[in-house]
Amino acid sequence: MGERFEDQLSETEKAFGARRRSALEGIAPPRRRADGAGLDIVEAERGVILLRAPLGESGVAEALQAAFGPTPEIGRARFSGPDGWLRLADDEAWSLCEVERVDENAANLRDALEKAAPGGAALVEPISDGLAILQVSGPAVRETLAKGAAVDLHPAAFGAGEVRRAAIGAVRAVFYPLEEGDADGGERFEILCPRSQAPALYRWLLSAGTAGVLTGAIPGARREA
Amino acid sequence: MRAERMSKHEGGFRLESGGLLIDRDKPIAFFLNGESLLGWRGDTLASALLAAGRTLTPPSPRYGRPRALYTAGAEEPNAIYQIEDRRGALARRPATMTPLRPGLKAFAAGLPAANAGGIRGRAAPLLDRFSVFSPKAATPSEGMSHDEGAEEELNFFTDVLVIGGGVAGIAAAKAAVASGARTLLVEQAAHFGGRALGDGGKIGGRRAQTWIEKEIEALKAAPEATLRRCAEALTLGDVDGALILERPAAPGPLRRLWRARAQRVVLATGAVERPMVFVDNDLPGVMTAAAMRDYLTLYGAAAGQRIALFANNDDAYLTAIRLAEAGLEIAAIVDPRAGSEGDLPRRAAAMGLPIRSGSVVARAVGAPRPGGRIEAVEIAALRRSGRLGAAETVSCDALAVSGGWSPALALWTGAGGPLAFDDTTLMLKPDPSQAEIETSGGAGLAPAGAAAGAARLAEAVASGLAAGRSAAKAAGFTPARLTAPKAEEAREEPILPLWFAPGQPAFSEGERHFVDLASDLTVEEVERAARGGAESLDALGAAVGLPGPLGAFSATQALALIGDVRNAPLDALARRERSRSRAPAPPRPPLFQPERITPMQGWHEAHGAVFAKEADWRTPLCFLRQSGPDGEMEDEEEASVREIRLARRGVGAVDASSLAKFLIRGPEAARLLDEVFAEPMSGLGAGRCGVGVIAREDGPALAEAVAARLDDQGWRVYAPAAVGEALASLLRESAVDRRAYVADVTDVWGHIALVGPKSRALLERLCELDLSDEALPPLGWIDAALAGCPVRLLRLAQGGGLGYEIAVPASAALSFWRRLFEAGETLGLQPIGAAARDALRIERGRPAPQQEADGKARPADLGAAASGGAAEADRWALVGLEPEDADQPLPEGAALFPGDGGGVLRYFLASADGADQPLGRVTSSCWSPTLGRAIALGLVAGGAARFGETVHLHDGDGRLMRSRVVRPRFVEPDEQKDDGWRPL
Repeated sequence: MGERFEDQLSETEKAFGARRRSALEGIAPPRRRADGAGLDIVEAERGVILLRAPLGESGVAEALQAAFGPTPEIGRARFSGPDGWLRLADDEAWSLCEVERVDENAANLRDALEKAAPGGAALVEPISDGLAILQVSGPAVRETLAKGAAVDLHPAAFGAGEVRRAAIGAVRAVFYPLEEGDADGGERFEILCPRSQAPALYRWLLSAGTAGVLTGAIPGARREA
Repeated sequence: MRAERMSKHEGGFRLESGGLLIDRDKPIAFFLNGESLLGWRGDTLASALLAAGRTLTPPSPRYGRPRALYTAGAEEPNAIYQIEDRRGALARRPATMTPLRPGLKAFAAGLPAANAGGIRGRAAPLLDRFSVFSPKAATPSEGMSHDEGAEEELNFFTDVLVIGGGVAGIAAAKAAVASGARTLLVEQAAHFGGRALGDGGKIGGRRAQTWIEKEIEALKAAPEATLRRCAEALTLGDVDGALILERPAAPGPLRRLWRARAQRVVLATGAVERPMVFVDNDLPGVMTAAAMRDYLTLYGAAAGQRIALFANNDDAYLTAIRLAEAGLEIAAIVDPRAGSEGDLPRRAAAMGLPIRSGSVVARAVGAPRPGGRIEAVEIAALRRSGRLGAAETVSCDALAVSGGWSPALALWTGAGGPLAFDDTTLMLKPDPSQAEIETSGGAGLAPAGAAAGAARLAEAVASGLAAGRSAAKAAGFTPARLTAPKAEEAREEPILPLWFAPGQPAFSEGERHFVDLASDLTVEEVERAARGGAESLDALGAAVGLPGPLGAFSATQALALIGDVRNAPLDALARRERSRSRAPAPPRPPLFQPERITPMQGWHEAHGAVFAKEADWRTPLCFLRQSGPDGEMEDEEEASVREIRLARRGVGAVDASSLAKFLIRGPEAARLLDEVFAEPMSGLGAGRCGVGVIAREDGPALAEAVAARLDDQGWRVYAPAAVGEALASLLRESAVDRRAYVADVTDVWGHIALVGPKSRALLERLCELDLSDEALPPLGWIDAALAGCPVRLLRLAQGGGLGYEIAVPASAALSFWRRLFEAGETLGLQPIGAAARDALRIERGRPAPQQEADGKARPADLGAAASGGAAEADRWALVGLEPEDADQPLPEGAALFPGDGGGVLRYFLASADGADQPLGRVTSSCWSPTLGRAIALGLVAGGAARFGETVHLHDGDGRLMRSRVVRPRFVEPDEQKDDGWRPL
C-alpha cells in the first residue's frame, strides 16, 4: 500500500536530501511549467530567520549594520549572494542565508542584538522549516500574481529590490522580484509561503497562470506580445 | 410582391449593404430556442435577431403583454434571454450586450409560435433545461481548453479609471495618459466610440469615426493606458476598488472581475434615450429612435419597411433621415413641437419626409393576433388645453420613439452623488454645483460628457478632456496642455417636455401607458403612488413593489409624473434623490480556500486515512485497516474503537502538526502569558509546561492550551488548530505596547503525540536518553536527538496516562515519522486519528474549542481553578454525563432538563412560560471502549452541585433518555492493571 508513495518520494528525496523534505513532496515534480500562459515554477531552498526587534531604534540599527550590512527600508529587499534582508515592517525583517548556515546566523543575530540593546525585547527564530519557497517565472508572472494579490504589480511600482507581504489567492505570502531573471531573460519572482499551504498555492499558481490568455494589463506581461 | 416581402421580413431584416461593425464575409450560425439562425461577425445577438426578424422577447413580467427588442444598449428592458456561455451554463443577459459568437445558444420562454417558426418539436426538450439545467452536466463547447477557468479576478492599480469608452471617455483617457497617469479605460460594449461612432459629426476636422479609431490606436500604443471592451463597471466599491466585470472573448475566462484601485474615477457612462409614454407604447415594433439608427448604421439591420417616428427633439430626426437614405419609407414624423428650425428637421423637410408638427402619437395599433406587432399609429393634434384633436390612423410596421436623453448615473447615485434637473435639456444630471464627490473607497469621482449632461459632441469632447486633465492633476501629475478639437454638429432647437401623451378619450386611461417596461410600471400606478404621498423614486418603488431601482431609461419620466401630481418642481425632486439604492454587488466567484496539510499528509494517504477538516487543515479522522482474515476493511467506527484501545493499552501516534504554535519572547513574555491564560504561568521554570484555559479578559474561554517555558524570556504556546486564528490575534493584541514579540511558528514544526503505556519504550528505542520520571517528569520538556533528528520532547498526555509530544522541524517531520514507525513496529505502533484523540479527551473531561468552550463558557465554568474559584450556581459548567442506557451515546447538542422528564416534553411542545428552560446541554459524546459504555460531557447549570442528579433529554427521534450527572473524568491510569486503566 505504501509503495506508490515511496515511489513518489524518490525524486524529491534526491533533490532535497534524505532529511529535509520538500513541501511539495508527492504533489509536484521539482520543476513544473504551467501550460498556455507559460509559467515556470521551481521550488528553491533558503535559510530564513525571522527577526522581530525595534529595528529603527538607535543602537539596534547600527549593530545590525556592523554585523550584517545595512537593513533596508520597509518594503525593500537587499541581496548579496545567497544572503539577503527582507524588511517587512518597522520591527520585522527576514534574514536570508544558505540553509546550512541558518542556526549559526540566528545565533550571530541574537548576539548582535543582545550587545546592542542588552535585556531588550527581540525575537530571532529560524523559520525556513515552516516555509516553502517557489520561484516563479515566465511572461505571465506579474499578471498571475495580480490575479491573486491586492498588490500593485506594475514594474514601476514593484521592481527588483522591493518586497511585499500579501495574500496570493488566500495564502499569506511574502514575495519579491529577483534581480536575476530566468534563462530566457524573463522576470523571476520568489514567493515564500507557509509550508502547509504550499500545495494549495502551487495548484493556484498553475491554474491562474494557465487560465485564459494574458490581458496585457500588467506591463511586465507584455514582453511576449 | 410587397406584401409577401413584408410578411417575410416581419420583425426586421438585413439591408443589402451597410453596417460599420459587421463583416459580411464571416457568417456566424447561432440558435434561438433551437432554431438555427445566421448573423455576421461583429453582430450583437440583438442585431442578429433583428436582422433575422426574431425580435419577440419573453412577455412582460406582470401583465404578460407581448414585447420585443426595444433598445440597442445595456438599458434593454425586454430582450433578456437565457444565454448559454462557453461552458454550457445559462445566464440571463440582454441580447443587446451579447456579442454574437459561433454556436451561441439563446433561449426565451413564452414566445408565441408566430415568432418561433423554426422551433417545432425540437423546442420542448431545450426549454426543459430551464428547470433542470445543471452547469456541471453541460459539455464544454468545442475549441475550449479544458483548463480554461470560468472565473478570474485581477487586482489592478491605476492612477485614473475612466468608465465609458465614448468620445468623452476617450478624451478623458487621452488627457490623463498625456499627463503621464496610468489609466484604465473600460467600455461595456464590444466597441469603443459610444454614440458618435454611428451618429457621426466631425471632431477636429475628421469624421468622428476616424477620430475614435485614431485615438483608440494611440491609447493602445501608450504604455500607461489599459483598454478593456465588454467590461462593465458594477460598483465603485470601497477599499477593494471598483468592481469591473469583463466578459472576454474566447479564448479566455468567461468572466474576469477586475478590482481596480484608482485614485481618480471619471464617469463617462453616457446617456440613455428615453421612450415616449403613450397608449400601448410597448407594442412589438416600437423601438427607441437611437437604437433604430444604431441597428441601421452599425449593423445594417432595419426594424421595418415603413417606419414612423415620434419625438420631441431634433436629435431623433437623424433616425428618420438615415432610414430614408437607406431606402426605407418614413410613414410620419410626429413632433409635439410647433415646428423646429434645427438643422436636422430642416433637412428632413427638404428630403420631403412627412412631418406632423404639434401632434402626438395617441396610440400604437397592433395586429389583431397573438404577439401581433404594430401595424399603425393614431396621430392626433395636441391642443393647447392638453387635449387631443381628432385622430388619424397612419399605417406603419415600426415606430421609433424619443423622449430625449437621460444621463446614465447608476454609479454616480450609488456613490451618493447629488442630482439636479436641467430645465433646458430636460436631463436629470449630476448637480453641477458639486462636480466631484469621493467614493467610499476614497477615490475622487467626477462625471464627464453626456453623463454630466454634456451630450453634444463638442461639449462631450471638451468635458472629457477637462475631466481627464483634472483627474491626472489630482493624482499628482502635471496635466498636459491639450486644446479641445473643434467639433461640427447639427444645430438644434430645444426639446419640449412631454412626459405623457394623453390618449383618446383624454385622461381616461394610463394603465396602458408604460413608464418602465422591464417592471411593467404604468402611468396610472405612478400617479396613484404619487397621490399616496410618494415623492421619490424609492418611495415609488416601495409603493408599487418594484423589484429594483429604476434606471436612466425610465427614472426621469417617473419623477416627472410624480412632480405633476405633487405639483413639485422637478429640480426640487431631483435634489432629494441622493444615494438611491445601490446596484447589487455581483456574486463573488467562489473564494479559493487554501487547504493546509501536515508534512505527513502523503504517508496518511498511503495508510488508509479517512480525512476530516479541522479549521483549514486536512486531518486524519481515523486509519482504516483490514480486519480479520478475510481481509475486510474496517468501517470508521471500528477503526476509531481500535485506535482508542491501542492508546489505552499499547502505543499510538497522532499527527498533531496542525496544532497552532506560537513563540513568545521578550522581557514581558511571562506577563503576557499570565494575561491570556486563566491560570498564572509566570511561576513555571524553564523546562516546564503548564496546561491552562486561554481566554480574553473577562471573556469566554477559547480553548485549553499548553505553555512551555523555554528560558527566562521565551515561551512556546500550543493550542488546538480550531482557535489558531483567534489566539493569534489575541496574542498580537496583548503584545502591543509590551516588551514581547509573538511569532506564529505553526508551520515551522511538525508535531507528534505519542499516547499509551508503551510510549516510553518506543522512545527508548530511538535514543539513549534517561526518560525516567525523575529525568523527564510529567509536564517537563527537554531538547533531544531522536533517531538522529533534533526534536523538542514534551511529557504531555492530553488524554491522560503516559504520553509524550514531539516537536520536530517540519522539513524533517515525515522522515522522522517514518523512522518512528520502523522503530515501533514490534511494539504494535499504529497511527491514531482525530476521532480517537477526541474520545481520549472526553474520557478525561478535557474541554475542546467550539464544544465545551462554546463561546459562552468562562474559564471557571470549564474548571480552571485559578480564575475566580468555583462556578457560580446559575452558570453552566462542565460536567460528565453517564447515560442510563450504557449502549446509547447521548446526542451532541441535546438540551438537558431536570425532574421527571415532563420538562423535555413541555419544552418541545414550545411552552413559553420559562418554567421549562433547559438546564444544560450535551457538548461532546462518544462510546468509550475503555469503560465499555457511552459517556458524554456537558455544560449544566450549577456544575459540580448537580453531581449524582439525573437529567432528561430528548434523543431527537421522539424518545426520552435519562443520564446521570457525574464528575467530568471517567478514567484514571492504573499501574497495577495490564491495560493500565481503571474506571473512576
